[in-house]
Amino acid sequence: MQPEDCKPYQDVADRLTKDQNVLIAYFDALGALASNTPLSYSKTIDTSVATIAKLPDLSKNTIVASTAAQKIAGVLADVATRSYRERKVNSIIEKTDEAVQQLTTALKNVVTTDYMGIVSNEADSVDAYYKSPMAAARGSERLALITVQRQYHGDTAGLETRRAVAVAYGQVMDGLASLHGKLKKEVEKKASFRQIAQEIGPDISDLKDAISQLQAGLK
Amino acid sequence: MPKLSEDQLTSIAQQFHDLSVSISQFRLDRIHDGAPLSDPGIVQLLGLQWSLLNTSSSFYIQAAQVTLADGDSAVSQITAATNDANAAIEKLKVIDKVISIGSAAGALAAAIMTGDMDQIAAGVKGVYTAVKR
Repeated sequence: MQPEDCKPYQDVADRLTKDQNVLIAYFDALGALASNTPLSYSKTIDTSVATIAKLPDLSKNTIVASTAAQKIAGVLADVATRSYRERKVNSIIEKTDEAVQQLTTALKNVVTTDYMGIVSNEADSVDAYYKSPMAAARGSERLALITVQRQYHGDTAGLETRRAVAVAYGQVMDGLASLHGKLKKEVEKKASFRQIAQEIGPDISDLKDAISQLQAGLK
Repeated sequence: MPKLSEDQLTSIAQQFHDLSVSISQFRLDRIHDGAPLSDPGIVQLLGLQWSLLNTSSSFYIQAAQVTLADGDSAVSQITAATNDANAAIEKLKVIDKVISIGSAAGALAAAIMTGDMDQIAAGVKGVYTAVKR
């Protein structure tokens, strides 16, 4: 494989990272609105959205994710420029729920299906790299064989960690989707957003931490 | 013309992955039988195996954006051909023949990327020919 062969994978990774940043920024904004703290709108979101639009179309999941992320980013910009406050939050949640559901589902699918398939291929490449020299090793190469076996086990353990992280990422995305769905239902029941925020605040915080950890683990 | 669906591309990716795994196992078995790592056939099998894995990964990220007039028919032809290739490799002992099947599968993958049904049909035929040879 040549370095230029990695470009499509890098394009996908760039696009998804930007989509995911929009999702995190959105939940951050909800948290800020709920606590009535000043909302800071990062200009990097604008840049991200502009860049997303210029990236090549790849899988259908990445297209769905990007379209949904652009919708959410549009709402975020609106929220920041019009100085929304609690009374307006309900309408934001109702307006963005479909896009949040689409984005979380698409991000989950990309990671748990596409990425997992690529990790599986990588695992087979690692097997090919190590197994044949190990099978061909002669008795006089015992110490070298032990060293190579340890290296092989280290690499396969790393791949297993990435698989586990991908599964956990899918669960986090399910969690975010369910959380937002729950918020929407509460909003429809006309519950106080402050009260809802107090109930779900810890969940949002946990999920954000989990995303950051998982993002680091998926690299 | 519609693009191949997510599920269809994932299925094609899995087919090429499975074929690569079969070639990998065949190569490993020959090494266990005493074939040296420097044997040209063994080296060629490794190249084919990596090439098919890369092909599979390309289909997973759907870099190909394949557009086909009749995706269902194409996918079922591709699946039948690669299943036959897999079954043949599991029974074979001759390196050259497995190289021939693996190369035909590589040509089929290239044909799929073009999105041209005639080329895909030729690629499928090429796999069957290699299996029966």
